[in-house]
Parts: sequence; C-alpha cells; structure tokens
Amino acid sequence: MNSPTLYLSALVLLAAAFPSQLARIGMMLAGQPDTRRRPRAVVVQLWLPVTLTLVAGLAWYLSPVSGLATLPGHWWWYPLAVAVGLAAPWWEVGAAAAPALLRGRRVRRVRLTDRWPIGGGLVLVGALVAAVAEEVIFRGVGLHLLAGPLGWPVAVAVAVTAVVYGLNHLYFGLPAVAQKTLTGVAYGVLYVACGYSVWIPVLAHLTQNLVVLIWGRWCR
Amino acid sequence: MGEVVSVTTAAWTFAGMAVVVTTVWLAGYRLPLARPRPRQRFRLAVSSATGLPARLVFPVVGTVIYLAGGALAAAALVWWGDVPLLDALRMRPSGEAAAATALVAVGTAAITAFAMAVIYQIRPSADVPGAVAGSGWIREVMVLSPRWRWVVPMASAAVEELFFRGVVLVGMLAHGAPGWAAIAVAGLVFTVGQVVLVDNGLAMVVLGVSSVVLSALCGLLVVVTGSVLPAILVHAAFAGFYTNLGGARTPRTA
Repeated sequence: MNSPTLYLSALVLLAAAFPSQLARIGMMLAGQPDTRRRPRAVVVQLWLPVTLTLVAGLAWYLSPVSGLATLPGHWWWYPLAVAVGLAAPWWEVGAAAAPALLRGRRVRRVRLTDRWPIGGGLVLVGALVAAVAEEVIFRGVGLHLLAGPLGWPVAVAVAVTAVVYGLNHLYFGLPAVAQKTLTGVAYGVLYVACGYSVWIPVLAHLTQNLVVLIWGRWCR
Repeated sequence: MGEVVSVTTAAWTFAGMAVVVTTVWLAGYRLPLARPRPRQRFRLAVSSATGLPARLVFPVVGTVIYLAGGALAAAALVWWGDVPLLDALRMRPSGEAAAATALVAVGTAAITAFAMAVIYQIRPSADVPGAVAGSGWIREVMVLSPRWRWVVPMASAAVEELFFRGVVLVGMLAHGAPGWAAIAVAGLVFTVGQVVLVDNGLAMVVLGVSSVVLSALCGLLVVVTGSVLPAILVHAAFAGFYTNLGGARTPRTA
C-alpha cells in the first residue's frame, strides 16, 4: 500500500473515531435541552443523528477503498442479522447484571438507562439514523480500513473497533461501555463473516434500536 | 508498505533547528515579563505612554509579541532551513480536500470532547472550562471585547499552524523525513510549547491533549492535501470556538 492511502486511512480512522461525542458539543451550543420550547428540543434531538450522518458520509466518501456497499453472499444473512439484533438487548442486560450476579446478589430489575431520551417520532427517526451512521463509521469504514488496507489481523480489528464503539457510549456510564463493546464485537464478527457487507450489521443495529425503543416505551 | 521508515540526518538537523527557533520565540514571548514587579512596571509604562487601559496592556502587547515572534520564527526557519513554504501555501480546491477538512474539523472537536469525558470520568469534580479560562494567555484574552476574544485566538492559531505545520512539518518532509516522523516532530514541539504557556495542572492536561489531537489530525491533513491552508482553517476555528466556550463557562456533562 502506498503512503497517500496510509495517511488518508489514518486521517479517516482518527477523525471519525468518536462521533457520538459531538452530542456534547451540541449540548454546549444549545444549553441544556428545554422541552418547553419545541423548536429547540427538536434541534437538540436531531443534532446527534445529523452530525453522525455527516461524519459517516464524509468518512465513506474519503475512504480509500472500494466495495463499501457490497451485498452479502447469501440471503440468510438478513434473518441472521435480525436475530442478532433481537438478541443484542438481552446480552446487554446480562452484561449489566453480571457484576451483581458474580457477587452473589439477586438482580430483580435492570434499567436500560436513565439517560435514554423518551419521546415520539423524532426519537425513533434519530435512533434509526444513528444506527445506520454508526455501522457505516465503525464497521463499513473503520473495520474495513483496519482489516483491509492497513492489514491488521481481523480479530484485532474487530476488537479495536468494538472498544472504540463502546467508548463512544461513555456518556451513559462505564457499564454502557462494556455493553456496547460486547455488541460491537458481535456486529464486527457478523460483518466479517458475511463478507464485509455493511448492510448486515446495519440491519442488526436497526433491529436492536427498535427493540430497545419498544421495550423502553413498554416499561414506562 | 512503500513507506520510508528511516529519518535522514538532514531531517534530524532540521528538527534541531526547529526546536531552537521555537524556544527562542516562546522564551521571547514569556520570559522578559514573567516576574510580577517588572510586569507591573511595564503595564503602567505602556498604559501611561499610549493611553491604553492597564487591563488591556498584556492582552494587546502580548498578542502582538506572540504573532510577530511567530512570523519572525517562521521566516527565520524558512530561510535557515530552506523550507518550501510557498508551495505549502498553495492549494488546488477539490472535493476530497474539502471533505477531509470538514472531517478533521469535526474530528478534532469529537476527540477533544471524548478526552474531556475521560477527565470527568476520572475526576468528576474537575472544572475544565474554568481551569482553561483562568490560565495563562487565555485569562488575558478574556478581558477583551467579545469580537477580539474570537480574533486573537484565531490569529494566534493561524500563526501557530503556519509555523508548526507549514514550516516545521513541511520542512521535515523537504529534508527527507517520512510523513509520520514529520507529523510527530512538529506535533511534539507544538504540544510542549502549548503546555509550558499555561500555569495550572488541569489546563496543562487539557491544552496538552487538545494539542496532540490537533497535531495528529492537522498533520495528517497537511500530508494528505499537500497544503497548510486547510489546517490553518481547522486550527483557527478550533481555537476561537474553545476559547470562547471556556470563557462562557458552559454547562458540563459527563
């Protein structure tokens, strides 16, 4: 691989590594979300999906590799992706309960998060757009560049992108970092196994976010 | 990989020159008036001679010394080290260069925000905006009017980028250093220079981290686009935004 490809890959990987943190910048710009003022609340709710999409689009456009939109080799990757997405919230709950269970305590209730936005259609659109953008950034571009042009061992590339994806959820606390790292590994394995088609982890992530939104509404 | 892995002797010699010139620039800016008594005498002397309010003497004179010193340092290193600065000040506009500039601008903000989140995770009581706003040159800039609170950090950032990336990094490349070594040397000299200009531990950490982030991403941007202009734009926007963010003491989130 030549140097321009190497440096462009490094630029894309670094610059797109922590897109979720742009939520902090949005909050700094807008002040705290004020639900009484509708336009401001809309801007605050749309800020993260829009900025994630911007980063994903730029990273996709700049990536010095082709075949980012490859389709999977077999149709059965699609139902498998939905199955992984349906299972993901359960192992995330398991990961949250694990420390208490290991200490021999009984877990009666696991709260998804106290910072998950509760709202209507905007939250739904935001969660779905964010799912697509995150998979494009972390699997479609990040994992693809590390395991492809940069020549990292696939297991290391999956682990690194999963940890960075997990760290993007530091806002929700350290347990969320562990949960999302676990899910990141699952999506990374799915992505590599299906032949580097970003559509498969996208489908799994969309399913997971839908399940979490429905679950969150049902638990209220 | 087709990458050159060794750093030439000429590149190391140029790196040594860059360290000497940077040290002279920053020492000339900071040391003569470091002690309180001469500082106060200088403040009153300039204020009575020019009519400039005493509280504005250091923000104005300090900025002029910093900018002029940076321009002189750049000129000296270009002449001494035979740096093709004019080539780095040219740019052919392209969609890729615009996208890379936009991604780096967003990326510097995102990684810096992540680093702040880590600081808050380790020390939940840390007051990062307060520590930065109350430290070194940033404290001095904060007495200026809102417009100049943007202009001064942006102008300083432009001169810093011109010197560290436009002259040091481009000079290292011109002397045969591989891109990674040029990015590392320019970044190290810049980061040390930024850290020594502030005077409390937390501000040193914050300035240090943001300088490493800017050095890596702006360095890559110069290598990828072949021009220093996008990096000047990114650094100036970053400096203006964060200086005013610190001054506004915005709400902080974990």
